[in-house]
Amino acid sequence: MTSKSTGLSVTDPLRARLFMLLALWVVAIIVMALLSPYFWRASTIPYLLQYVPILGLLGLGQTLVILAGGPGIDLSVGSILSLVGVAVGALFSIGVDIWIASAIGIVLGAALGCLNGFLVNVLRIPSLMATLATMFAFGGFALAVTAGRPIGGFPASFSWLGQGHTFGLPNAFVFVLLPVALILHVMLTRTTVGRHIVACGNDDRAAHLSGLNVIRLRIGLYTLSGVLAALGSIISMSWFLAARPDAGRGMELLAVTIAVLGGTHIFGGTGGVPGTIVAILIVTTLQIGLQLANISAAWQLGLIGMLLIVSVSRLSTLRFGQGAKS
Amino acid sequence: MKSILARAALGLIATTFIAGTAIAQDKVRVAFVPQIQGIPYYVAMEEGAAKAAEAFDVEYIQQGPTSTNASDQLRIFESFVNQGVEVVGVSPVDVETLKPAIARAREQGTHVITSDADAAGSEREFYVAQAMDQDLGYTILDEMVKRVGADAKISIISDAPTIASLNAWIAAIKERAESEYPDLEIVAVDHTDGTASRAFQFATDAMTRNPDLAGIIGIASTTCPGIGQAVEAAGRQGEIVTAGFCSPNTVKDYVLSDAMTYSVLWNPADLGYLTVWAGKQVAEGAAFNAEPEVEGLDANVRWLEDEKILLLGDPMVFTKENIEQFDF
Amino acid sequence: MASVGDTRPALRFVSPTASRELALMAAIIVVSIIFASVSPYFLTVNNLVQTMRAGLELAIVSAGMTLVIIMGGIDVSVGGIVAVSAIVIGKAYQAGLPAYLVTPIGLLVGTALGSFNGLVTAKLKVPPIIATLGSMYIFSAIMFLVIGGAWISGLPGTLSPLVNGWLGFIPASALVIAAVYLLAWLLLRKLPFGNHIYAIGCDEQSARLVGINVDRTKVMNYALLGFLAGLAALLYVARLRNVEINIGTTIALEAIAATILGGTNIRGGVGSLLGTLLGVTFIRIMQNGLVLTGVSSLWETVIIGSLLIIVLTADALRNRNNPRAT
Repeated sequence: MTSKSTGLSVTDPLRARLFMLLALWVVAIIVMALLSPYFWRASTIPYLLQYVPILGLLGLGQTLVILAGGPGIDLSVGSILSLVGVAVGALFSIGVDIWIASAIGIVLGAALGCLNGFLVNVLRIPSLMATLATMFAFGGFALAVTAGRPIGGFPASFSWLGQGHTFGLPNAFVFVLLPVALILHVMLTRTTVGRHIVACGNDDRAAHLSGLNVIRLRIGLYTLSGVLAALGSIISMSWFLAARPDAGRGMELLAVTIAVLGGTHIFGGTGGVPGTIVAILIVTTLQIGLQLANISAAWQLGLIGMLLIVSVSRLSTLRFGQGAKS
Repeated sequence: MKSILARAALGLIATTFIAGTAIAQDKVRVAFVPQIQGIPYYVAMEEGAAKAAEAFDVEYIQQGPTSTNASDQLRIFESFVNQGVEVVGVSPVDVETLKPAIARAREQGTHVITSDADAAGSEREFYVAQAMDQDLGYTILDEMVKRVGADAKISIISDAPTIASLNAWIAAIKERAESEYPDLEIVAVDHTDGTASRAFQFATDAMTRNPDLAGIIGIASTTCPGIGQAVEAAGRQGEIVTAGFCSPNTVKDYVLSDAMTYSVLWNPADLGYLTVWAGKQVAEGAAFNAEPEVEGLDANVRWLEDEKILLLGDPMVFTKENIEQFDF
Repeated sequence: MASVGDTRPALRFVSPTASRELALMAAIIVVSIIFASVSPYFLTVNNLVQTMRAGLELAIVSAGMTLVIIMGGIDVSVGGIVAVSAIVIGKAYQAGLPAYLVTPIGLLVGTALGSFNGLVTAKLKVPPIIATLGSMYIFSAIMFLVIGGAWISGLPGTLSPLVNGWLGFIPASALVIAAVYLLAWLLLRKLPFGNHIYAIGCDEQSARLVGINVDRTKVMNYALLGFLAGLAALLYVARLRNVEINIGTTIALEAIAATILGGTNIRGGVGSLLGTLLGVTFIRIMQNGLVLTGVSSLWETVIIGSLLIIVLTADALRNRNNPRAT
């Protein structure tokens, strides 16, 4: 997905961004290996990848919603994750098979995402506001109906997805995140739908005039974001064998951070799946590496913040433009 | 592009120096994951633990999440396990989240103990307890009833509803109220978002709603300053009995001004000390006897073999009379 | 950005936010009647004054947030500014400095952090939501690293008359809020600075072309929000006489919610200080009333989130055929 492009020109800003991110990731890995003797070990790979899928799915959903412009953003993904978990847990506790309950959970995620899409695109409530409101509503609901207590007792067989490994890699990464990322990447770069999404993000009026149903497309993407959050929720439940009503707390802003760090322009039109994936790898590498070096989690926050600002600032694009010419 | 990379590299390398490089491998390493970092309680615990680490020649590491978030806590816990730390202690935010991780850590040969809060039903080896949850709930309520009588109205203010140990204390209080003091009315259990200003609001509103409210109990140390300040702002010092599980330093001013009546707590430094001592014991494969002697610790430590609990002792009650003697 | 929603009212004969202000006033009256009929303690001077005191910091920060959002910006880091300022104020008091020195120091710290946000958005061209998301992480890292676990308590309440005092029969906190909103209103409506804010919010490019110093206005506006956050921190310390780790965690999202609820357009160019004040009132009255009527605090976020959705939906439906109002 990445190294093939070495021979191609780097004039495409997205590809150039990807190079920068990859380089940054390598730097991060080297520094982390210097920081902690425990980082440079084979066992770090599954440990690190374990933390990637849930946030990665949310980041991918966010990428698509932002990419389609509007400006679009989905602050409710963390709350959808929590609420879907609580719903699946409730279904399971009244005797529904866990996998069937999970399927219903995905439908619920789609419905919640669709509601966001409806509020933002049909009622034309600004996305930041609409999804802030649903973030309060969904997340508060998950917390209120459970009174904050996790729902546990899932069967051990359910842990296959969240705890199992294939070829030494976490199943959630191999069987969920990778296929999803691949499908979304192909969809964005090879299909008409993908071109429509980018067109919407670039100039929705032009897209509309050329006959595209902008509203339907964007509602679809909010729905997709809800589905991905629901998938994340199932992975999280399978990992912990419990549904926590605050499972997604704080993840919405991290998902936005990852999407933007990955090169998605906050007003839409530019962005892609590979960037987001590398961004989540960078962030997780920093978190895991600093943790293994026993550096306070506060430094992780500061570093992510700095990385975010610097990577989007004019400084980086300026230098980067000069670098591309030479 | 080069410049941004250089910038990032510089930043990262700078953190290297901050981190320091000393990784001593010969000593037994004991790590502890608190529920959150940045609150005085766990700092005091760390100080006590560091003292014990010195005394017993072990290396002690403490790292906590920046918010009471179960998955952040899990990441830190797993990081210690992957570093090959011999003994990992944890005060779980959420028990369910940690259960599978504790099982995996035990498989890898890491000793896992809980301290400060327990992970019931997990494979932890034992629990270093400051006091039993039940005793804590009973004590704070009994002290309250002593002051307000058995037929009064009281209100409870807690931190996030997702923190298991706080919920256990609330449950103990409720159970005691039902069985011993049937005429006592608990008018509300409110959950803050962890800020003192929200606790202030809840305390103020509880007093407004119930003009005859006799007492307020703050469950989390984050709620104590807000409750004390609310009583001061309402000018009801001495009229309303307020209490909490708060370290003396957090509430000293309020207790001295009568805005807070008493606080129930143990000495977190002692708990940290005991945790490190216990960690060293388990790393060396030593068993506990019923009343272990802990060198350098002035406490009546007990070992409950059936429940696998190492008990620090009875909770202390801090009041206006004795609070100035304590500094933690 | 695309131009679909860009047909903003440049000339207004009727305030574009008047309908929202009226709707909010009606909503406040309706919920007040409900609360008053259920709880005899709701409509008492004591309760209302206490509720106002509890809303003091939110009201102050929201005034600044309104100006920033009218300019087409946003600041999600404002809670971090309040926290860092409060820590500096606490440390300064602890070092034995008198209130007349601590006050300017606190305001200065807030202003400096606000200017940092302004510089990053204006000079480095980072979109405001990204810039302030980044600085949110950075500020909370500073908060953890500076204060550690050493909460500061027992601070002098020199300024607490500003919160708890009375001037005749007028509570001092009402005067503080009035002063802040009057100042903001003067800046916004009576000085060229305000016109520049509106101009940038309507169309940044045109504003630049007509000779407005866009960068300076942006920095000044974010600095003003920082100043107000510093003021909020001073009053917080005066009110609670305590500095702990969680200060300000929720204030940014609450302030954004209050501002947009009050009719300020998230895309900039349209806004109302009165609406914001009503938004703050609505949120705090809901929180207070729900506790007084005995609704479990767990349901509070659900109810507030749902009401947000209802208000936004109702407003959107009413203005459906009026593209100017979105």
